[in-house]
Amino acid sequence: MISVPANFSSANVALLKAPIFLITIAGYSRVFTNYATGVGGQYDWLEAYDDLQITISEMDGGSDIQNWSFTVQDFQNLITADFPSFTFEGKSVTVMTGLVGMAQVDFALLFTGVIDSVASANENLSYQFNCIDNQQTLTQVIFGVADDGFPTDSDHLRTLNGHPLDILIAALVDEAGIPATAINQAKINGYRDGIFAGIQFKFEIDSPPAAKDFIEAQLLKPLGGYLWTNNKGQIDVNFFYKQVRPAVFSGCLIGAWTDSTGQLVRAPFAPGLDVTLKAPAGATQLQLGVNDHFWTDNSGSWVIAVNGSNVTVNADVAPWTFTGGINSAYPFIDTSAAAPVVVAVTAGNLYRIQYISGLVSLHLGAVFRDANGIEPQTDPLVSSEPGWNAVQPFSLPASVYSINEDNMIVLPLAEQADLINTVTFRMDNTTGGSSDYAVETTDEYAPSVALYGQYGTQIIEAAGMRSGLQGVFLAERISSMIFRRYGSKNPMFTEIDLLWSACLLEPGDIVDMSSAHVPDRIAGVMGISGKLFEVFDRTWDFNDGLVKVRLLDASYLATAGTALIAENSVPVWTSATSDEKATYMFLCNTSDQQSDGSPAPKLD
Amino acid sequence: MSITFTEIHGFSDLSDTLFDADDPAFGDMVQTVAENSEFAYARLEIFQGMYVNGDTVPLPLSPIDGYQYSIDECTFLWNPDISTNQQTGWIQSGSGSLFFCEWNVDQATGNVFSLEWYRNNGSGGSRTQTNDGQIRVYTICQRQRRTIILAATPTWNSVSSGDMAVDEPFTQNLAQHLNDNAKFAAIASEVFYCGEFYNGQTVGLGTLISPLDGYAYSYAEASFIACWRWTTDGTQTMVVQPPEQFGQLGPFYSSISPTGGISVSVTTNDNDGNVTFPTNYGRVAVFAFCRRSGTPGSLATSTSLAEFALTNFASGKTLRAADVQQLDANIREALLTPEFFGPTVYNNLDTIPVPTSPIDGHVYSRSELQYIWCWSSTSNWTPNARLPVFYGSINYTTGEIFLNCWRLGSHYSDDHDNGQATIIVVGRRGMGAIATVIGTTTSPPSDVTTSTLGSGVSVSIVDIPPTTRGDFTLAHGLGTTPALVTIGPMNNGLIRFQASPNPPWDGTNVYLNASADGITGILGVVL
Repeated sequence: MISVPANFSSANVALLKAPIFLITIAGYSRVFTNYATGVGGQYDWLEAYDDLQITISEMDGGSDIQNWSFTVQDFQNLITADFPSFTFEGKSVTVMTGLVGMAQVDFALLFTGVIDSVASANENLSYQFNCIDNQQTLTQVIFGVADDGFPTDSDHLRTLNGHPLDILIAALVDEAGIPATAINQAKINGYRDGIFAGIQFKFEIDSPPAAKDFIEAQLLKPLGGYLWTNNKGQIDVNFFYKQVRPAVFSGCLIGAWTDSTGQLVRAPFAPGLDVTLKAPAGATQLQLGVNDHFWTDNSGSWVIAVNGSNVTVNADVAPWTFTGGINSAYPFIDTSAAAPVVVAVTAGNLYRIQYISGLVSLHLGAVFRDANGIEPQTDPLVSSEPGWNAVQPFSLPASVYSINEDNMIVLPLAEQADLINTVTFRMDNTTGGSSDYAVETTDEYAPSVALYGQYGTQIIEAAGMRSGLQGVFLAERISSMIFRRYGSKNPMFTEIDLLWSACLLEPGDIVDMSSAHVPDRIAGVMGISGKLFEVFDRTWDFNDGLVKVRLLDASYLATAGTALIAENSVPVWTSATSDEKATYMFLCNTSDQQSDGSPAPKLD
Repeated sequence: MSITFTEIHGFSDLSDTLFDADDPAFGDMVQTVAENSEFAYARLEIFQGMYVNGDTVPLPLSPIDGYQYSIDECTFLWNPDISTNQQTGWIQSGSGSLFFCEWNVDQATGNVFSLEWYRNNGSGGSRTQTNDGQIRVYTICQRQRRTIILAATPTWNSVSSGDMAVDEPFTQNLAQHLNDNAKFAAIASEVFYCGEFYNGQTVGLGTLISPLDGYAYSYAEASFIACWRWTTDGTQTMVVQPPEQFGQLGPFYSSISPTGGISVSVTTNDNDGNVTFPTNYGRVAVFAFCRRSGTPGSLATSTSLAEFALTNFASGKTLRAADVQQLDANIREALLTPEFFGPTVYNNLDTIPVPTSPIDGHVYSRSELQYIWCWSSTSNWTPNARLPVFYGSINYTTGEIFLNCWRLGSHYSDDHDNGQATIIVVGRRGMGAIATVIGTTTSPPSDVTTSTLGSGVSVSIVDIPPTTRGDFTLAHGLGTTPALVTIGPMNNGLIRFQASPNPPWDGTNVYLNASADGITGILGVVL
């Protein structure tokens, strides 16, 4: 979901509202709007705008944002007069939205693209600006230089060996030349360090591929993911898996569970923008600070809510300054840091740590960033910072928006997803360009075949997957995720029209839907309540103030186990507290029960 | 019963942080540990076969899971088991005795090379260049040998069986220890090609650094064995023909000290019959069989490995104590597979004893053993006489060693088999009868006095016609129970022995299994 200031969120709840749009072209003096804002430099010359649609090809690893255009009145030929001194083509363009009466600082960024061309319209009285997606840069060929420095060909291979998401970033940054700021590295690294931890691909490329083709077909499709462009114009990813482990960067917020003396009782962590964690045994304090190694030249602050109570984390505070005791295991260079923000906690209780607002700079007012530490410039983590020792918590999937009959325009037509109950993976490829795969696996979703007597097949040729690097197991994992979405002719909605309140939805978001007029085929009743779906295609209809989304069943997310790995101090089942039994994983007998006959917890 | 897998299991370097307390208990992560343990069991396999000059060693197909090895995963170790010509079983008529030799297997291609020169007596005696020699090649396969990326060196941690009982919590310690142990098991044994050396040199520790994690092995963790490269000047970068005055080749000797010291010597018999030891003659290629010292000194008996289904720990399932115990058992057996014993120097007619694991007390059966042997001495007489022919073999059923080193005095004689073999025994738990081949027997011509013949081995070659997938029997036609049957080079698939009877042959048939239709090959049947 698109991140917005709290004021936008609260105002967005209202069903009746009038959206304002601001279109800004980088370096251009005029900002176009549909509303007379009264702000200098903003001109309400917008005449028309196309729908802006992103289409997701989740089974093919990619997406497409259709070319988008907006038309502006050439008031008193003033735009014409700008042409000699300004070149529009190739410039970045952004679309922001807010509501009448809202301060523009609280507006939401919806779209970032590039102006491709400017055409005359309306008998030359207007200009139509045609915009394209940032992904157009990915048509270029990559990995053109072989390991031995020669051009890549069958006699001069380019070898890639590493985590596929590291290869993804290398392909984007090192090969395609995309700035690190134009990539959602936080999410990519979160998956790399989370549910996809330890995965390794090895390619032997004998023909330089187009970046987009390689990334989509060889990196994301085998992982059950797809490439898309987010509202910031960043290259982004989504996966069928939802569990991520946020990455740590310089300048991010760092949290530390400590005792009353300030000694850490658990490795520190970076909360990111929103995380809920349980205070571990021995913790009486949550300490918050900035991940840095030289605090005195920092500026700014963040407002962080801990279980709804706001605290201000100034830029010059470290997450801990006490260096004795166990803290010697978490060293960093403490250069005149101020004492951390301290929040009293009770061990065993849950605490939601939420970034609310504010920006922090690490150096003399430059590069301000939010609590993720990645805006607008990503700085790598260094060993002299407290975050070097961070151990990150998992972020689990949750619904970000509730769809109901109040925000639906019309009742959606319930449909079935195309059946996929057989997935074939091909791996152990010797060269990237050939179809010579030594190993082929086929996973079949037996309950689906038994139920329908039909087959729907997905074939994935993964040149980097290696059976010797758990390729066969990864194939089974991804196949399993595909079956959960497509193996049961799952519910889907090709299009649901929603009020503008849903404008912050993004592909990959999980939403819940309740409606008395949508059938629940499993239960055999009319009406669903709180059923989880994932957002794929999304269209902004600016003219009518509507948001149209394609939804696919994600109810499997509600069935996974939630048991946690136990702390070493947790006793056996028969001696555990009810809270410990409800929280942790315990070993069970072959009847899937504990010794007292209780049903055993399940793996996530 | 031999262990086979229905799936190919791979390796993944999963960080311990995935198993921190209060993190979700992901089934995929537990399954990843199980996969690592199964990968560890199969990671290091050794295949062997007999080849001649010009052959290319085929890339092996694992009998465990059908994994097709790539050339990058193979290390070739060799021994000239038999010096004679494969077709004639003897030296070329009228060529005298051996002059000098060169053997090699190209590590990059598997191409086999054998060059054996002969020379007649006397000053200006004629010289004959041949490609005689039957080379045993051990293909040492290490899956993902250079590909695996490890963020840190894993270590072994003791896991208490009491922590894996019903009702026990799945704690951070238990999860992380299983994770670490499975990774350690996968990399605890490695085999290195250390390079080529001549007398007086030392195998440097720099050759014993793991490409996986940079772990630097000590000498105490390595067992060395040397393959003969050539018998002439070892200081040269390529073989150089000896000068005239050195005459003909006599016995040659090699050994490696526990700290990598190379001792190599070659004798020659000059035209007057004098024995000489040319300086720095002889060059060997050295291989090191390594086991990390972090391996625990003792473990419970570890012979109950069982494959997990890929979905055994899938999301939504419980975590059964029996499965966690099985996972621990798999890790332990994988850690001890393979085990290396030796090197030990053996004499002709010695019997290699069946080893017992010093870690868990497992007593290996013969079918679980492979013998990596190389000539450490081709001594044929005291003093050293001319060496026209040498050959050796090991009976896999009994462990008996046969070493025959002929001498050329006034005639060809095989009456002082003083040769020695350096042998590393490789124990692989759960391995079926080894698919090994031995060369064709030597066949001295009729004018060689038979009373001087030493004991040899007699091998009959039986063709395997195109197979039908599954179990089948093949009549060997010998009318008696063979001492040993070996499966030779095969095409288009894998032929292996049936699990029973044991041994998988009798007085009439050999009991075989084919992985597919249409496979052909040969059997070597030893009386």
